[in-house]
Amino acid sequence: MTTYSFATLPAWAAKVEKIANAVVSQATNDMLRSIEIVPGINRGGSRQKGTIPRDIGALAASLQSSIYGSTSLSGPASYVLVAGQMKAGDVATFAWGGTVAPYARHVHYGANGVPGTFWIDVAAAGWRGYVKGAVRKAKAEIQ
Amino acid sequence: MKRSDINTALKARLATGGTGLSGTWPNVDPQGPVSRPFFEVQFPAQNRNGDYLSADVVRETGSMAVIVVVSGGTGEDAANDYAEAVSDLFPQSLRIAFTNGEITIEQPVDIRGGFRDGPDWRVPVIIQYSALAS
Repeated sequence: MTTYSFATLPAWAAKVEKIANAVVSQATNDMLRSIEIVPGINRGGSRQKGTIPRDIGALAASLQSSIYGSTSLSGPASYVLVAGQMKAGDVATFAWGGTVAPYARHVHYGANGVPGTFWIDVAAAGWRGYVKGAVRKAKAEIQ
Repeated sequence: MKRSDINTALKARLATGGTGLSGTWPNVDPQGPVSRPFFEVQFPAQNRNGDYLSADVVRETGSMAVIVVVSGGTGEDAANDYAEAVSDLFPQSLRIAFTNGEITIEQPVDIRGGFRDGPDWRVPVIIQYSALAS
């Protein structure tokens, strides 16, 4: 285990910052990775809470990921690059729908008698767990 | 700590809160046609976790979604007012007792953007809670 003294305070601070960044980045990535894309009703599937049903693929592919509204990346895996760039305190945005899949809210919240899958709320509900997991991982790496 | 007790306590607060709306509930068939405005209740996320090896400290965190439904083409003000009425029933830090436990509303209720669904205009209201056995 590394021992720090007052003289090495800047090095300690830098290390803490790196760890904080790593935790934010890892937890965000894990949370978004947890959102499963499953067959939609037209492909024989059913509406499962926490998932994105895919029939034609437009909704799953409509994910836009950005930090502070900067040039956004698009595609179902776009979160990987954005989460990887995140630092503690950053505001990242992950959004589905837009003109590509204007029915995103209908699927998320439910509509026309079909229940919603609430994939954003289900993922967000697990945020504490994803942070705990990322902290454990960071602790294991610095010991 | 039983989930049915938690859900019942949250639903009772909504049903008796005087929002002026009737509602539809999870897995309950409406008695006859439902006239607008009304609300739909769903429970999107309910997770249990225990931070300690001692198994008697178990916390459930979750959310109750209340979808306010009004007639489409009637503007959004009425739906937003109903959504606010629902939100007012669950202020941050509110504690609601249930059998052998207590629910806490840990953050402000989130009123999401409305959207058109055929003849309806729907406004989601998300209430996040934490429940702990007493």
